[in-house]
Amino acid sequence: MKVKIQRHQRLITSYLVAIVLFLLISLVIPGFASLNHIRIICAEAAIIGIVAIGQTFVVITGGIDLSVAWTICIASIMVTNMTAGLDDKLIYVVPLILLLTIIFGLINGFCIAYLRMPPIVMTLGMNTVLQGGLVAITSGAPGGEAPELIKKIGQSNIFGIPWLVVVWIVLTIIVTVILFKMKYGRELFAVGNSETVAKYSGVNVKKVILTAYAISGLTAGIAGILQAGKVGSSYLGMGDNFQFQSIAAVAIGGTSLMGGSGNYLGTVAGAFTITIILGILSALNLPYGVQKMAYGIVVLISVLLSVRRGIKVKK
Amino acid sequence: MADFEMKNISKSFPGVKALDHADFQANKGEIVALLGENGAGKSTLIKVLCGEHKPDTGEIFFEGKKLNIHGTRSAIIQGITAVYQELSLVADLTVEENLFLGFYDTKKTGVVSYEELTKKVQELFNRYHVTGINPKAKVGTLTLPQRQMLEILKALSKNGEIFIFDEATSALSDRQANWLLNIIRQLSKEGKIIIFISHRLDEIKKICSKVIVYRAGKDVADLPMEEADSDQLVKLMLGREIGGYYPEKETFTKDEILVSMKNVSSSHKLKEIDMEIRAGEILGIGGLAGQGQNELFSVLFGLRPYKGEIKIKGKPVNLKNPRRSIREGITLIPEDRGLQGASLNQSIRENIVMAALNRITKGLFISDKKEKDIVDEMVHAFSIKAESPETLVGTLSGGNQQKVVLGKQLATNPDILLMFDITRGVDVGTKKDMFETVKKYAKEGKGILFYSTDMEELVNVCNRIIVVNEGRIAGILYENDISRANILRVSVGESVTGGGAGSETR
Amino acid sequence: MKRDKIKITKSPSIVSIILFVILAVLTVVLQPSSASLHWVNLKSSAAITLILAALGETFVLLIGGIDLSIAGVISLTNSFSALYMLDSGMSIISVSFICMLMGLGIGLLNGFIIQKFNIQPFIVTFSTWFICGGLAYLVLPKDGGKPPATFTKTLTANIGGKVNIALVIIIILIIIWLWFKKTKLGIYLYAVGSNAKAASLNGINVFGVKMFAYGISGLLAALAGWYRTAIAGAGSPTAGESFFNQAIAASVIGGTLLTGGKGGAIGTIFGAFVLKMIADILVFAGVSSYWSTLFQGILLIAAVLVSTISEIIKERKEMGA
Repeated sequence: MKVKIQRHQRLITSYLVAIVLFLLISLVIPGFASLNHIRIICAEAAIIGIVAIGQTFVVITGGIDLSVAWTICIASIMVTNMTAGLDDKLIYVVPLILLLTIIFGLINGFCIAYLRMPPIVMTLGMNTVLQGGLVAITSGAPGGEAPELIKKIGQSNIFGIPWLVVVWIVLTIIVTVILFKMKYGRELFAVGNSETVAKYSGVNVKKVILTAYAISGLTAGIAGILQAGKVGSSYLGMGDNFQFQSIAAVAIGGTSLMGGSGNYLGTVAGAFTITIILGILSALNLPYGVQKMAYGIVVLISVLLSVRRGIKVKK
Repeated sequence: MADFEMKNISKSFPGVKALDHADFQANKGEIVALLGENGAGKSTLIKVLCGEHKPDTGEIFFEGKKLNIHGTRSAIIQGITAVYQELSLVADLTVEENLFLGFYDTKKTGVVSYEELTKKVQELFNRYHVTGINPKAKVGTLTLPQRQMLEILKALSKNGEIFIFDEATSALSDRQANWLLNIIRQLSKEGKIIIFISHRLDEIKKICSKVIVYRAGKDVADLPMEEADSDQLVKLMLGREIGGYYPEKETFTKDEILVSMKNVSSSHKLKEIDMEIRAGEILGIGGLAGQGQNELFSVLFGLRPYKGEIKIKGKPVNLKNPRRSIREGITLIPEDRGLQGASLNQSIRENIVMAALNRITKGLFISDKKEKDIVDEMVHAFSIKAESPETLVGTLSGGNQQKVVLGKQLATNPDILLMFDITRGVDVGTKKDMFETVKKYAKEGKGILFYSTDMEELVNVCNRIIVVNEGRIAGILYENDISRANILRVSVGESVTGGGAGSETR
Repeated sequence: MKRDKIKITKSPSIVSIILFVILAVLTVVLQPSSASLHWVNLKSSAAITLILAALGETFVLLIGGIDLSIAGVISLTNSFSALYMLDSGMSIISVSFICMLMGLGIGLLNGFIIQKFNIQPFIVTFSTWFICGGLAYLVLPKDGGKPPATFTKTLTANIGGKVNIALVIIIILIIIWLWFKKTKLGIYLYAVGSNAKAASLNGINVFGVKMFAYGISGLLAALAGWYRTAIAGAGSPTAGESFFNQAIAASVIGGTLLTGGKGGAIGTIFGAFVLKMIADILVFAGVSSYWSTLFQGILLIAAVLVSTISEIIKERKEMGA
């Protein structure tokens, strides 16, 4: 038992942090711990958490995905504009969106894995391309309204639990199974620790990395659709905040940004933590500048805390 | 007091006491062999001397005066130079810039004087009779033996008092190694102190005047060379008797041909190779360094593109990548366990099953039971010593790490083992275990391709040796003709003495 | 003489220089009026902030690192100087000094955290990017600020009525670089970027060299933001936004590798001009500003792709495949 606790130390810590933070703040800010507010926090954390699924996979390989911001935006705009706010077109719009976001991810993954582009530059470049493309196509016009079904998922509850959370729980289970119970998960960790060793062990390193980025594109797409539902409409730039939030969630959750280790369950805790922190900032009515600084400080502190006593291996 | 003394040196790292009140002494003109298994403290001692690590306790004296070493630069300035196992050359700088890196002359305007640099480099080349290297070429374009020579030249240029050679001959051809040994003899005559680290006992016997043996972080013996014989040295290193360094050679070669290569070429490094590996055979690859041996192994493990026909157990295959090779029953034990062999930040368990994930899945998911079975099997088969399978491989000793690599690669149930310089930098005890393992697998009917830079090993381990020269097969030595002399002869294009039982030269 | 010729063609900045020449010719063909000193002055003034930022980034790339925080530093110094600079010599000098100190300080902080705690450069500079960016918003929540005319006029003036001060600064930077490259520190910079472990074994103070690189990057980014105050005549908390992408693109086009050890400032300066000229040509061709962002992104990816692919080809050639 002791060994098990030690192994999952980081995971347990990240949950403790979230819980302690929540309890402390609820003492100070009235209404913070109300059932309704908890639902709000969970719903917010859910979307961040879903984006962070892809981010977790990518970070485990030692990379990062800085194109989620505009991938989310494209997905949101598409689900509102292409359905004209009606449900009947959803049946082919949603698969189209997901296909498109997967393709964006595949392009990222291909250039990174097969053409050896550095992840930061490639995904940042992709982000700019997506931004430029979307803004140019829409000529800067704001988005439309989300279809009813999507709004229902984004805003309503089932048995008191937000639908978003239900979706998130289902995805969490799937992701955790993939990471720990399936061949791909093992290959992912192997690649993240050392591409050479993985290659010599017969792992198709490039395909593993390509898949990770494709997954990131996919989850960003899902998040984009859901966010449009949650907010009720779409607008340019709505994905920007999720970029930093997903990275913060991953960092706080204990997944090493160097790659090779990680646990999506930790990211879940991280998603809650960052949501709570943001909630505090807005409850205290602090200016936007503080929020931006908070992202930076939070990520820096998490990374400093999780400096692994690992053995340094050159990749 | 001796001319040079390291007294009472201790150094600990988290979880490991690398040096434990260790001593070292030498007088001017002595060439001292520093022997010990990996993990015995040799490299830590050297790193302390060279200023890379600060010792927890202890002092260093030279000519009676205490040395204050507070960094690599201060060590160099105080007369300590080392030729490292990992080269200290910068690929993107030129030969000139590398040879005097960190010690440039500057002009009044603050820029480095390239004229002075060129002059000094030419002087250095002349003094040590070095030819064939363009001083203005970028080091990255040179071959490995050339780079090793530069590494040595760089150390020589420092005119230090104490020279450390750490496995300096490992990448050199026999001729170049002799060049170095002569230089060392010269340095000794000039009254320098030389610390010579090598796993090649025959080399040590050739030039060293005395031997200091380290074990478990401490010096355990300080003998003049005449008093030390190989068995005794090995015993001192291991702390126990091991009797017989190499297992007795037996032949298990069967008729079945596991690997057949016809007219295989790869870029300009490998040309028209025709060869076969039989079941139960330990086939050695010999020849001067860099003649295509690396490429041969890479081709068989899917790491290089090639032309020609390769058949595994009679079936034509296309070895496009390591995965294919593994699927066809081939596995590679690489030379560099840190960079290529084992994932140091992962557990023993995760490493062992890494190449054999198909064996631990049941349907879509991983079966914990199947995983445990394979891990237990390998840990047992290779006597991997660790607290538990969850232990991180990076915390294990070098020998145990190598065993994990073996476990990983052999978990794929291969028929053909490619062993590429696996004993390089490995201590005596583990080496012995490895030779036993090689023999065991031959007995089980596996085909083994064995490459080592140590000819002694090739001679004592292999049933048959193919000598490679300039990418082609220069000759094949069978049973009775296997000897260091013959390997050398064929390598340089002469024919085999004794011309026995079917040995061929081409 | 022949050896020098070979040296030039093998120089990493050759690509950017060729591109520069091609684009210059193209520009003159499309707009004959551009073949004048006046036009060169204009372009220098337009490019100076990018050049400063890109140069700083080049230093960091050379040692094998990366600095994402420049966007934040630029926004910060731009906002700060636009808001707090008053019309007195004392104020101008002290505010400018504080800006440089801020940039230097952040750069050194980056370098320190990265090395002391052994964390990947991109994560540390990613964090400081947001911290500085956030600070910029706190200093100047909305675009505004009014820097004194003395300041703006001086930095945008034409010396002797003929040559713009920005152009002069660029030429001075080139001269300084050509000198720096041959100093010990200059060579050490390349050594550390190529193989830090080997550099350290030779007694080079790797920690110091890297601190220098990050410090310079922060300082130059601060100068870029400060100069922007003069050119734009105002401050903005999002001033630094697109600088990182462009700085990387300029450096890569200029031949600096993202893996370190190769490249240099000359290439970066020409690379920056190349980027500006491409943007100009697009405007001239009537491409709407909406599409410019798209092109920027494609340009960045394309520049880095060409660089990495040519490295792969070089490697393949050495392998003899």
